[in-house]
Amino acid sequence: MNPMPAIVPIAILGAGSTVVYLVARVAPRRTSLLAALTASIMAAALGALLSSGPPNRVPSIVSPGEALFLEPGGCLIASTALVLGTIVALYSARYLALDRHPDRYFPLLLLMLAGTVGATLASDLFTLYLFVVLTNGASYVLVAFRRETETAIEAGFKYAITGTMGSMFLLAGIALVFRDTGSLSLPMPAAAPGTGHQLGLGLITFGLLVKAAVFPAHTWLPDAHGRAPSSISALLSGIIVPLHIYLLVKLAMALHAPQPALGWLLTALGAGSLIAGNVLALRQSYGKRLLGYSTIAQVGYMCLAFGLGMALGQPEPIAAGFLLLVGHALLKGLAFLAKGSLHLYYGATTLNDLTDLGRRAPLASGLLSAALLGLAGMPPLPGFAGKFALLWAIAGLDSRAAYAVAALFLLGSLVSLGYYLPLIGRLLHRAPQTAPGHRHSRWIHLPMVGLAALTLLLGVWPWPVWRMALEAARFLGGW
Amino acid sequence: MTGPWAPGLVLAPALLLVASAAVLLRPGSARRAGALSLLAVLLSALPLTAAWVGRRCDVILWAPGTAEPGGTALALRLDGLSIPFVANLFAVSLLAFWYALGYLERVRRPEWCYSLLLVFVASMLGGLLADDLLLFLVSWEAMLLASALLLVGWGEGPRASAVTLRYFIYSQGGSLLLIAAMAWLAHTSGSTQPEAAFRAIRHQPLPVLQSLGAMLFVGFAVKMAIVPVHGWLPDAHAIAPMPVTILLAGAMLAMGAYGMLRFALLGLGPAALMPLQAPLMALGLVSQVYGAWQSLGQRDLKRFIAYSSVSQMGYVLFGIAALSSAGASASVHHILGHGLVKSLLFMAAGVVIASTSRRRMSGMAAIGRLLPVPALSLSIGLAATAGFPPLLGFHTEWRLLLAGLEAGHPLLAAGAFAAPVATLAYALVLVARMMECPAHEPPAPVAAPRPMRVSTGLALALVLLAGFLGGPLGRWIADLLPEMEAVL
Repeated sequence: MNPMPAIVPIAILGAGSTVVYLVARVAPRRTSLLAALTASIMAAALGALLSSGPPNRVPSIVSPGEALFLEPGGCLIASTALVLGTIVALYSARYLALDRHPDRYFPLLLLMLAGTVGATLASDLFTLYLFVVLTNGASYVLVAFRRETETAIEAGFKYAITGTMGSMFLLAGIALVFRDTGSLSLPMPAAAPGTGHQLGLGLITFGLLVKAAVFPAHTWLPDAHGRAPSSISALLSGIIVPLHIYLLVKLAMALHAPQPALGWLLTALGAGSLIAGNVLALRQSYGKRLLGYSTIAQVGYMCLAFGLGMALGQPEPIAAGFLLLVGHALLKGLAFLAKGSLHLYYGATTLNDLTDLGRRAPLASGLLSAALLGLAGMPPLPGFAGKFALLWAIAGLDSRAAYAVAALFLLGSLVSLGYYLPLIGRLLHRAPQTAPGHRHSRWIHLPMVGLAALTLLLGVWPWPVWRMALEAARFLGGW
Repeated sequence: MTGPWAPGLVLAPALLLVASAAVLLRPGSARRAGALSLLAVLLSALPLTAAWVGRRCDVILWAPGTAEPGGTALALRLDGLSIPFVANLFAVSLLAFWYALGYLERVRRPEWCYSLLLVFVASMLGGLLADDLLLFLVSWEAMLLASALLLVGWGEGPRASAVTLRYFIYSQGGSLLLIAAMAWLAHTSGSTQPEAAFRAIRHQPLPVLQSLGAMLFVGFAVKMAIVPVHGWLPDAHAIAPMPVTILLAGAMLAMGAYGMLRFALLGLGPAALMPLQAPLMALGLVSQVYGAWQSLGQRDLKRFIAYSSVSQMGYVLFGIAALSSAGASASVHHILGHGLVKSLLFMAAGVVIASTSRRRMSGMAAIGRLLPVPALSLSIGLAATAGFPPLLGFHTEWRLLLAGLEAGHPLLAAGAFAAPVATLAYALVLVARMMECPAHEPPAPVAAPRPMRVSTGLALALVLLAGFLGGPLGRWIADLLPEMEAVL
């Protein structure tokens, strides 16, 4: 059987977005219908992506070379994004029931994922830039989706400013690389000797680091992810932010960046993110901001893994980074969705609001607690697999710096208990008198339970993903 | 799969887990849940007893990822080292679950409490039986999670969540060291089967093995509550409901010792660990004396007994640090004795607290007259801890001191002779308190629930029996460790 061209999933998502928009114009209040439609479009795109299978090249129609190239790492990340997106779309059916503009939400969701899938598949710098901007543009609007509130507007504005700044640097970097090499294709045949290429690489790195909220450019993330609707935060924290780390690694390999130098830089910044995220999260009193800071720390872990792999030229830490990324996507998605349902039914925003919800909303609280414990690295959830894989990979690096990184990583995950556990403690804490719990919609619970089941499966059975991650790391290393 | 009764290894933890789900089916009834849990503990001991007849057996249930780098297998095994620990776990669990029938009579959400207690026991059993590094780590974390949930959900007093947080962070600090050590081991050896992994790394340079040994020792020392990392123990033992305290003190502390013996001593071998010997012995000594000293000053009965555990685990570490088969079998013997004695002490203390509603040391006056049997149990338990001749502690402390003397650090061994004296000091504090005649006659005690009193009587009988049979018991343990002889 011939593999399906890699463009098909992007085309499905893009066309789907138009279809959903048109349906929404006809039936603007049918949120459930729109959600079901969006979810099935994403599922179809996922099916197309999996049946296209790496490696898969799509020739470009505007320039010599190819526009899309599906490599194993991209396939892994794009499928994670689509799985999470499908679940988020289903969850939004009820979650958005009270919101006014489902007709904008669902098409934007599809566009955001089309951008994500496109950016992972792009094998041409300009295509990559377009898809990154598409993802980001859709997510700015989605962060400010509840535009009736000032906080949402403020968060969206902040996010748009920093994000656009990142895009500008990315574009300037791409321009410089193009000036020196005369080529946009990925991977480049060879590095150009000029300083323009190096400077361009620096600008690309800087732009992507800002978008990935890596320390010291992490400050926008808690605002944006703390204020966006929880379903959107789940996607932003889960996949969109880590996507940029993956793009950075992919571009560094494809553009022949001086890998040890960039790897150590990424490691150092990852260490900074880990410390900043974990320490600042300790002082948060809003649940979603806390989750945002936890994302900063987790992105720090991924930077450590990818950075060490690049610095020492080993595929195993990079594979561990992929495993961490996928595990984090599912766990953080679950945490945001569960937190969102507590907000929907009980108006819980601060940690104090969570008091005694363990009794009133046992399923959502249980899933939130499980997701947090998974993020802290407790088995049998994927956080543990990722942690073990990273330590396992570091054990194979004969480098003192790598051991220091491992120590910092362990210390960070110990400190992270200092904010995950009190949050769980709040949920379990008994108030002297409480109202009984509300009845939860099945359509809030089912997507969360499905995501939890997938997460558990990945934790217990990480081998297929681990195999793909190793393949992806070896593939990137071969560029 | 070897050994005719190897399937029993799978059956026992599975039975406990099935029971933990089954108690949830009928919420509300403490009596029913308790009876079912006790039955599950008794029944799950049977297949293990049968497997023990086959002496050493192992079973690989499922080996999904062994072809992968860092692959793992769901493998269980029962051998000479784990048999005494499994026996200890079941003896302590039997006492704790029987006692719980009375103690948890009016607890809220009893079905969840019993369910978690069963998961707690199953996870400890899983840790003892695991023949795979990852399976061991998963059981280890499950043990932490189950116990933390029991503490936060059913802890007594307003500080339950703060104490649980501290307990969790201490334990997880230890676990992280273990995860790092085992990840290193798995990568360097290319195997997650402990025996094969350790055989494969024997040729590594000594400093590498020593740092691995140090990580393992420190990681397990947290679970054993050795002195600089003991901070979680007194609070956790004080707030936990009594059956949980019994399991924490009698069975979970032993898990730390088991890990040290299995992974550090047996795995890396004494030759590699020699440079760690003096610091470890010194730490053991410090724990012995510091725990005893802290016990002297406690005002709360449960904290008093809890600090005695710190001291007792110091003895165990001292024995392990001798790095000899004599030291190892003496410390296993001491662990067995400690499990029974500590259960007896906490059970009797629980009876006293339930009868008088007093738990401060100053309230213990006249207990000897008002509650003669619990007071006698406490006194016998303390005497056994202090090593009075026909009782448990005498044999084991004697053998521990001998092992220490043979280890070649005469100064440290001489210091260890001070520890029983310190133990005696705090033992006498409580005994004397219970004999005091207060100025005002305290109110008459009420009768504690019957299962609590009966199970305390059983614990007393077991402690006396194990004391009188100290010699045969010690020989049994020494005979069970032929693999250790081979390694050491």
